[in-house]
Amino acid sequence: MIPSSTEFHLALSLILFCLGAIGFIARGSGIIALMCLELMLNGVNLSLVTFARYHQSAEASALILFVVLVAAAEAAVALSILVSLFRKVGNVSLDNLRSLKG
Amino acid sequence: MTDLSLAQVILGALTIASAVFVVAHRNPVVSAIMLMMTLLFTGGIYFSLGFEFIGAVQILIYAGAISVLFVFIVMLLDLKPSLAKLPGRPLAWALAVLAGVAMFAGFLFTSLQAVGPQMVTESDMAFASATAISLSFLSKSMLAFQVTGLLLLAAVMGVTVLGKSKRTESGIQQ
Repeated sequence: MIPSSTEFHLALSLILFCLGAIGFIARGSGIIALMCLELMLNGVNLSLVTFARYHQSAEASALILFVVLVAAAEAAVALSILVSLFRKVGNVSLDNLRSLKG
Repeated sequence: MTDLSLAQVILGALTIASAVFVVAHRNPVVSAIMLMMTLLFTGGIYFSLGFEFIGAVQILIYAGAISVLFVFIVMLLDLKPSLAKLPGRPLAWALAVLAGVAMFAGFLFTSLQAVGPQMVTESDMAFASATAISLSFLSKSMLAFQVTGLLLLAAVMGVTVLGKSKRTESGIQQ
């Protein structure tokens, strides 16, 4: 059974999201975690595009642009936090940040 | 009979392959470049779906600014490739893959129930044009539009403050 384009792109967006989630949990480096976060946002954006096409809505198209803008702002701030962390600790490994662990 | 084209399938496969490289490669520079490739292929998918304006915005902002920022940061922090064949802990990989597959199955099942196998009837895609999006920005999404401007202002201020190097008491720049 060949999927329709809506089903295919939904499945593709879910694969991107889950790959990003797997990488975010499994990799111990902060910079890779931020890249996987961008991957997750991109997957969600693809599902938004699919639904905008399915429902033929202009507000959904505007929402796609908002997601891109918010992702850009969040990437900039998160990377500057990462650089501050690097200046303090000397590496970007997230495994060593255990001082708040109970 | 489907409205899926061969180009969309090829682009989808290339996107997934690039995403796997982002997640699993041990060199962070390769991960950043593969992230750029993933974002470019996703822009290609948007073009193939008829969203030309959003595809162009995706390539400009995501592949043209955010990916370059990631490469800059990797170069600035001088991150070396990880020494292990597969970086990260094996237990974390096993649990993450398990959770990811379960999440994927659950999401796929529920979302396919919501959408079903109907195909999109060929329309004029006027809702995806820059005109329609701008009209939405200026009427129904006006609040979100203005707040996004404030968000970008806050991000610029935050990055400026966080990026400053600190001076110690004797005036030596750290």
